[in-house]
Amino acid sequence: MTVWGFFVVGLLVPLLLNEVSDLGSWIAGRLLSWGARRLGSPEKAARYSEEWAADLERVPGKLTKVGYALGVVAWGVPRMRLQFALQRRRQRKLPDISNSVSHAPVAIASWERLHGSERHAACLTAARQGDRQAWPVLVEDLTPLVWHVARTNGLDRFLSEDAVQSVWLSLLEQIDTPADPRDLAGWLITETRAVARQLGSDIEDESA
Amino acid sequence: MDPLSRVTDATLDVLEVLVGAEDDLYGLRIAQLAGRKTGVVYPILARLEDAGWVDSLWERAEPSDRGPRRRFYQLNPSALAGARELLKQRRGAIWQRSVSPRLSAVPGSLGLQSGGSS
Repeated sequence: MTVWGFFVVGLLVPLLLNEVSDLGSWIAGRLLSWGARRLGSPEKAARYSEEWAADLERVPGKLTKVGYALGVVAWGVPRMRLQFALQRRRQRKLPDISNSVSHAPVAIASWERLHGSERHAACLTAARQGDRQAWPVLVEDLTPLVWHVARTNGLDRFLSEDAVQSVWLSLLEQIDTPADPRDLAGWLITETRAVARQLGSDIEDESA
Repeated sequence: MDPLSRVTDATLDVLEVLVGAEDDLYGLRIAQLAGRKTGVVYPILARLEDAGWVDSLWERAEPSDRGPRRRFYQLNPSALAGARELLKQRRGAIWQRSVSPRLSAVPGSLGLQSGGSS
């Protein structure tokens, strides 16, 4: 029995552990390349899968490699994915609105004397018609609402910032929805909730 | 270079490492030096890069059979003064790393200012 005991403890167990930890670095590599592919564009996928693979080689210990990969995939990838999505939208969409020519130079903006949803409806209508002054007014008036909805839907400050940007960019992209401009606040609330869900409710400590 | 509208404490830690100007800093190394998880550091680096504060380049120009290349990060020279100023403001005169509460950073785009009050 002692011979078998020696065999098991001295040979089999280390061999098995070695197998398992090799499996560990294989899994880590697979996880990272999967995560990189989720970043939303082939360029980012190529860049980060190589960058992370190189860093992975320098993570000490085979089992901590899995920890490294899990951290990057679970925490880093969702944030980067959103960030890159915003980047792409910014590059694609922003010039349209910010450089758009004002169709009708208006002496006094039509929303100036209005309040609440009437005011926002007037702003949205003006923005749709290319009035460059209307958009910042909307953003300033309604960002607190979007921020509040994001926060009450479980997002931390960090993610709420992302949510705010994401929601305004969605509105820019679909400036002709909602059909009735007076529904704007409702539309923003729904959109913010959707973004909050999409971002998940992981409000762990950032340093976790 | 865009202004950073929100600067988390983790971001300050990363900037601190980059200002320290050790050569050949790659993501994992920066995370180790900053005492932060890599999962936190890569998104921050991506943000800083997007805002033009940080440049990155491959370890070697071409991929080769020597395995994957690291991506090296360095502070953009034009961001150095801004980073120092930020660290001074937020970390005080001696901004040697210490226990740090956190806050946040995103490249200011669209002129969207968040409510930020809650």
